[in-house]
Amino acid sequence: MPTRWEGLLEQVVRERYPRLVAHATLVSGSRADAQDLVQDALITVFSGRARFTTAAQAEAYLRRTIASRAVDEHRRRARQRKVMDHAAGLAVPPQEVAERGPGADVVAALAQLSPRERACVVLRQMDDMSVHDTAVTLGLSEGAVKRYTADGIARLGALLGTTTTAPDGPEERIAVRPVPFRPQEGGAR
Amino acid sequence: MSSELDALLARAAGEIESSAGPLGTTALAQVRRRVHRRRVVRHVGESVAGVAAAGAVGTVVWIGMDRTPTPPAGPTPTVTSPAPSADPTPTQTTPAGPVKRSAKLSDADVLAHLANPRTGETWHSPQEAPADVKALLGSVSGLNTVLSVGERGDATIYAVVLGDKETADITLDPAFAASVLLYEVDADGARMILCPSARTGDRCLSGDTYGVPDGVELDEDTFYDSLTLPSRITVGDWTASTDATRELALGTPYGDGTVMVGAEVQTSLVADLGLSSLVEVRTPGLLGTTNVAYAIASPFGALRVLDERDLPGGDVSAITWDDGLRAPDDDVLARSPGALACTSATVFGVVDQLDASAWTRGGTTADGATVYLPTGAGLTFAKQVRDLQEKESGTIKDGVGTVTGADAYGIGVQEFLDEHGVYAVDGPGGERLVALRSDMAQVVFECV
Repeated sequence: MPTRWEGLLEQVVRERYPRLVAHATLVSGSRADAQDLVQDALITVFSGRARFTTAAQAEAYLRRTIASRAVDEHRRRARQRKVMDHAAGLAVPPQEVAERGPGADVVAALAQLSPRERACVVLRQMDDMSVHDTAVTLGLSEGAVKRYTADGIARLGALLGTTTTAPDGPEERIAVRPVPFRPQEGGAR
Repeated sequence: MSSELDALLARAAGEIESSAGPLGTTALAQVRRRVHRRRVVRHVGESVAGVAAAGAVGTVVWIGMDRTPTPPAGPTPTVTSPAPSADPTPTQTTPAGPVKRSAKLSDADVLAHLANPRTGETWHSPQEAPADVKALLGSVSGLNTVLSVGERGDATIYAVVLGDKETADITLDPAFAASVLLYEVDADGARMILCPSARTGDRCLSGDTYGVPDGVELDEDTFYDSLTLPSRITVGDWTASTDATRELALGTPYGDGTVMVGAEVQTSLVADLGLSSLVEVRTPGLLGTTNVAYAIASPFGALRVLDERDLPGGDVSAITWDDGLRAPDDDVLARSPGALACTSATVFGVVDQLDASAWTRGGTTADGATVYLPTGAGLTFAKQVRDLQEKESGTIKDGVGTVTGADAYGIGVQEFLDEHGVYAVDGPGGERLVALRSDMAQVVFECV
């Protein structure tokens, strides 16, 4: 007889797995990484001591975990690359991503955003998550979430050819860190 | 956001969802097995905790015999070189009733508690963790080093440094820095400490930002008086804030563990803060400069570098220029003129053989400290700084492709000087610290 968590795990997978894969695809900008992200998130959430009793509550935990994992996975890969490249002081060129299949145009556009921009756009715009909750989920300040969301939406709009307005106000300009100029962001930050 | 973009995102999500098949039975079985295994791993954590706690008892007894509580101390500049405390810190008697976080803490109380924490933690210099603890905590992403750093009650406190002696470098971009994570392991298992500050509102770690090892619980309740920062630190006429540092989203609230893993970092003591201290961090720079930053050194050797905005002259937007130059619209911060892009802990530069007479008053910081601008030989140095930043610039421009040098940098000599691309302030010891505006620094495509 399955334990309570096993029953809930099966219910979540049965009822919500495709939706979680869609979420993971958008938040990672990669169809190839999506299934691994979802399965890792399932293991993390159901292994932990988070208190949830329904599939809907579990899905909420899973969506947050997928978003933070997507950012972390990028950081992990970049970190490994950076350690190797650091001595040479190499700037890293943008990755070319060739997406195919359903929603490929949007996924390809999302893939052009930075991981944090992508996560902020998806959590704020598609999941209707508050600035505060997004900040907590991604380990960012609320100001950084507003900035990443505004920049991400602006870039996404430009890539997809739509007119965009940032939800937190077009005038919002909050520095995240004094890193150098990035061409599509319009200046130092 | 426009309804058009909203619709595109919703359409893509719908298409992907429709095309995504179910999770196969084999994959589901693997997920179930791994969840099972992780739940069982907790028991491994508990047995590890038992051994660690037994070891801690002897340590605590020895601490009590060796050390007496340190009285609270105000900042007192000295010139000795601090290192992680070689001796464990004293055990304190916890006052009656639970110790709670507070939104408003006076700096006098914070300083007193830094010296005599109410929260019961004791610290010692980092020691290699037992193999089973390494196995338990060492599974976070990438290279890491697991170290025992202290005790609190029955728990042993372990630090995981995201790096090792060979790779740790305090000047690395925060995304790649040897950041420190803290865990307590006791008979109930292992907990990742997310909110170390006694001040409500100071930033917490997000549980999943750096990954959570199997079987480790997230703990937002535990905090440490000895890791809580005062809001202001004054040394003579020099005052640093910690407001921006405490809100900083990058890195961890414990700081950098480069020293903890045995890599060399040159520091000098600026002020005692109980069991912690304010230190100056120096790293080699270009153009005959030494990069300077300021950091809070924790009792176990982590260095929490203060944000530029917290330092006098570190926030260009807060400088009032005598010649009426407008503050930049965007946030512009100080960078060492001898540091290239994508580095941390490089806020100011100390210039070899600087002729102080070649720098004259040009403005004031928000706190009224004098800001200096170059003249004469200082202008020659300023031009060298600009030339270096231009020479090292390179990026990718839309519709153009890769550009380098002046095509990427785009700031001429006169504009650089007119906009006060290089300026200087005085440090806590009266030394002249030179800064480069961050919006006039080397251009690169992306740090990551």
